[in-house]
Amino acid sequence: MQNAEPVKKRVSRKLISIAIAVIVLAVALLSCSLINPQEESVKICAIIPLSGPYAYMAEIKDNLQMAIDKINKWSGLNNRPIELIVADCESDPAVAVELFNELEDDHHPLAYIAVTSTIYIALAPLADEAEVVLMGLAVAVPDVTVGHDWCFRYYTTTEIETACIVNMIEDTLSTKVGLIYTDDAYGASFAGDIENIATSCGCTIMSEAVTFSDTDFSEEVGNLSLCDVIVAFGVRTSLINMLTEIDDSGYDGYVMAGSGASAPSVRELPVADGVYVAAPLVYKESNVLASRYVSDFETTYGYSPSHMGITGYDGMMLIWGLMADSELTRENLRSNLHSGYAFSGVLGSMKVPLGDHEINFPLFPAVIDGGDLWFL
Amino acid sequence: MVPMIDGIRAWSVSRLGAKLVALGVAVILILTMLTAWSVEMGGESLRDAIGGDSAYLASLISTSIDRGIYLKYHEMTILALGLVVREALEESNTIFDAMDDPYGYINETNDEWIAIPMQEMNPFMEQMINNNLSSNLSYRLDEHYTIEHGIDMYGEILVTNKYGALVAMTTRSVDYLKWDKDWWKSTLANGFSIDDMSYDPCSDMYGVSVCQTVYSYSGEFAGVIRGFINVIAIAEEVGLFEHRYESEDLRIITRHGALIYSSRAFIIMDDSSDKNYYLKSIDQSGYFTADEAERSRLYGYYHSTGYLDYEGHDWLVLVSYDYAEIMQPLSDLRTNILILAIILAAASVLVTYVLAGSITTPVRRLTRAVVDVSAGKLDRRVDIHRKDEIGQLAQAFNDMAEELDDLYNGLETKVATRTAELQVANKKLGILGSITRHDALNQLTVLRGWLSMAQETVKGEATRQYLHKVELASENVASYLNFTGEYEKVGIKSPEWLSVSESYVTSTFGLNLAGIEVKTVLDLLEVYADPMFPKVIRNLVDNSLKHGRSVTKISLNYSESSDGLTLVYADNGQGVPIEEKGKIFERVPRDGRKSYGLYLSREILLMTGLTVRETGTPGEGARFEISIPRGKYRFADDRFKVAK
Repeated sequence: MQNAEPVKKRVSRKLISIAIAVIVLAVALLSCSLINPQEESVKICAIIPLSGPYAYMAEIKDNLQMAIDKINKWSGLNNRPIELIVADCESDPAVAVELFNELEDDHHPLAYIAVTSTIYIALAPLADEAEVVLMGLAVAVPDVTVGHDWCFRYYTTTEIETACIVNMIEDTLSTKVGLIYTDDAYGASFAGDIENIATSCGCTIMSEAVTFSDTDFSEEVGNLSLCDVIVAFGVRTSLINMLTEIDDSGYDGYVMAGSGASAPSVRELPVADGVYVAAPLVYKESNVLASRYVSDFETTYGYSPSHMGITGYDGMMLIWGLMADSELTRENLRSNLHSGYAFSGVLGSMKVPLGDHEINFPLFPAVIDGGDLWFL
Repeated sequence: MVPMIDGIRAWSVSRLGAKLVALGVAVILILTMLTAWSVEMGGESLRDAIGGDSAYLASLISTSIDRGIYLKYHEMTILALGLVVREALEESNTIFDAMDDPYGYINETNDEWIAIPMQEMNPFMEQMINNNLSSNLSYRLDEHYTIEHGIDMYGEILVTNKYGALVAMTTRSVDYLKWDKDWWKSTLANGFSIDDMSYDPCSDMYGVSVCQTVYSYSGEFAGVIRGFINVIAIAEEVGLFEHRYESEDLRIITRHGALIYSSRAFIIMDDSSDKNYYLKSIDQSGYFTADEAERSRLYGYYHSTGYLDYEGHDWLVLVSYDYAEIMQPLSDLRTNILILAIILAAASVLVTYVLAGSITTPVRRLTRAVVDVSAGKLDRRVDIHRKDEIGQLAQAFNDMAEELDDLYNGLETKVATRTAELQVANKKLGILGSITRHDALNQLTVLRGWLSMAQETVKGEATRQYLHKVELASENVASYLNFTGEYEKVGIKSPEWLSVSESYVTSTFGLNLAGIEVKTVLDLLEVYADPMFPKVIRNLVDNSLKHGRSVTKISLNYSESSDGLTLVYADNGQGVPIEEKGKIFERVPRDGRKSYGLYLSREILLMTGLTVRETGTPGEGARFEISIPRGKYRFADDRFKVAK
């Protein structure tokens, strides 16, 4: 009888201990799913003009983020989340250079992204010196990567645009070609290509260069009024002004424009109606991949992406695809980009040969009608 | 922390409510663990289901790709039956048939051809690439896919005549002479050929060569049409299915481990032969999990088997998903279970606590009532009016307490009545006994007086002997009567605490102890005994004086042990003979007379459970040990208590 009470207490103590242990174990096991250990992030720095004449390129940031959100959702880059660091270069190459140096000191990212030809050209030497990959998006000037081991470019080129437009010019049997363009690297490259090709086709060229600050193109348009076809080329705001001026002037010839006019924000303008453009197939309704992406983007960000912005998505997916299961070093990224690869992006299927740093997507002749593109 | 645990422990041991709460929580925990286990088991089933599904999807994709390749071959077949191709070949074959040395011409032309860099074309090449057949092929195949579908489906498309000389081409071909090519020979032998993945420098493309023989209207072999198919484009077309999971990835690998296609950016023909996913794909079809890029993925795979006439090239088609994504529903379910378990556990604690209170509160009240009743408060009742078992128990308790109260009250009355009656009867008996004893003793005194006179006057010795025996008998009767007088006093009064030393003093008053050394070591010992306890001591001393003969010392002391206390009386007389030891406490004759002193002493001691025995050594003295159990002795002053 004397031992009954202690035994009872011992049993109760054991029961309590077991109950506590079970509770702790249950909570630990069941809460494992709530734990999501974070690996160190992989940094990608993007120097983008969020202000200034090239501010319309800011949508590339959203497209980059779209890709990163998708990548980070399940795997990251080799189980490490990608962190996008965006810096506004204010459309100024000098600012871009300063930002590059700051970002290199502060973040030392895996790679840099530069947007527009002007910015990219300014940063290319820095990338080589720092031995870091510089990916150019919406960089249309051809051969900007030549001589730069660490520089790569993903966009169409002025050569491709020019070829497409010249084909359309030839189809119109025009002999007098008027050219109005913004006088930057992009515009100058395009103008040069047009002049060369059109001249070889027996056409005469009249060129009118404008600056970013110009908004009144009545004089320039007036000078081109006798041409069979006017080709407008330049940054978006200038392009819109050019098309507006051409429309207001009552010009009745053929109006053609570079791929920038195929972007939704331009082609949906009334002044763009009837304009012939060199357009990427991303705007083709039968392009299932592109349609799917555009729909997802619109749902997420509330506006339609242009092909310029989509380069951000494709560029980031390209990096992710090539670096999967590779050690995340700058050299490895450069080596993989240099190795020659295939990539099915939203902008189309691309095959890049060994050693080629230029990633192009094709353009096709199309006409704007009621805000939509009709491929010829 | 420790006090809290001790508090919980004490609370849980003593309170039924705590046990009920613990039961509720334990049930919830058990159910939760069972559910969690089921979820984990379900995870295996989910993995198997998705794995099987992915393997099936891989088989569909594989078939689709093989079918896509086959359809391209079919396009070649349709073209081979077309007017444009046949007429062009007929024309070319006619020209070559007319040559003296068509193969010599082909070789010579080929030499000129290959001498020109791939980026350049001579007029012959330009004429060929722009001829009607080439333009037709380019429009119907190359441009159609590019413009309409946005896919660069075809690389080089060419047509050779029956001599193996190029007749038409959509891109600048590497050479002019084709009859020495494996694909040409194979097509000629089998009617068609579909080669394994290779690189075509003319197309600058990786793909498969699809060839079909062309026959003239008369049924004669006229030439070969060849298209270089961009397998990546076919895979892209097939890959346009709606992805079920965001992390879905498609790979196609040749049987030698070269990567043909990936839905991600990939290095074409990259060697994958050392990758986990390649090495584990050993069966015709199946699924498995493997790590890739620091993540676990579920792979479903299928080895291609071709389509219709096309036997396939045993390509490995892999469909994979991030394992965490496909298990996300399970993870969500696990989280929901955890949240639900916490909520249910909390609710269980609350509910069972409330319910337990409805049980333990009345039980505690009942417990207190029982304690009160056991302490003698028979008027205690519980005010619990419920219709359940506890209410029944409470009612039963009240009834029991009522019954006990009545019984006790009745018993007390009866006891009091009976006691009074017994007291009256006892008193009567005592008076009667006393009167009778007194009268009898008086008559005995008279009788002995007459006997004494008779002994003095009688002459005969025999008669004197007879008279002496009568005198002894009368003394015995007197002794009986005296004993009864003493014995009737035993147990009349309630036992009480008596000082042993005081009992010795009062009981030996009047005894002649001259010349006897008396030693008592009693401290303040008290015993719980019949009030006639001093009689016991007197009997012992009296026996020593009467029967001890040469007693010069008497001692009375005690010793204490774990069992109790032993009060020891001893003298240094002759002691008790061994043959007497068993009889001295009985009513036995001693020296012809009955002696009841030690018998009476034993009865007096037994009233309170005390016992006595004689342990002396004959010839050395008598020794009486009175055993007093614990609780029946004490010391009036604690200073004299012996340490235990």
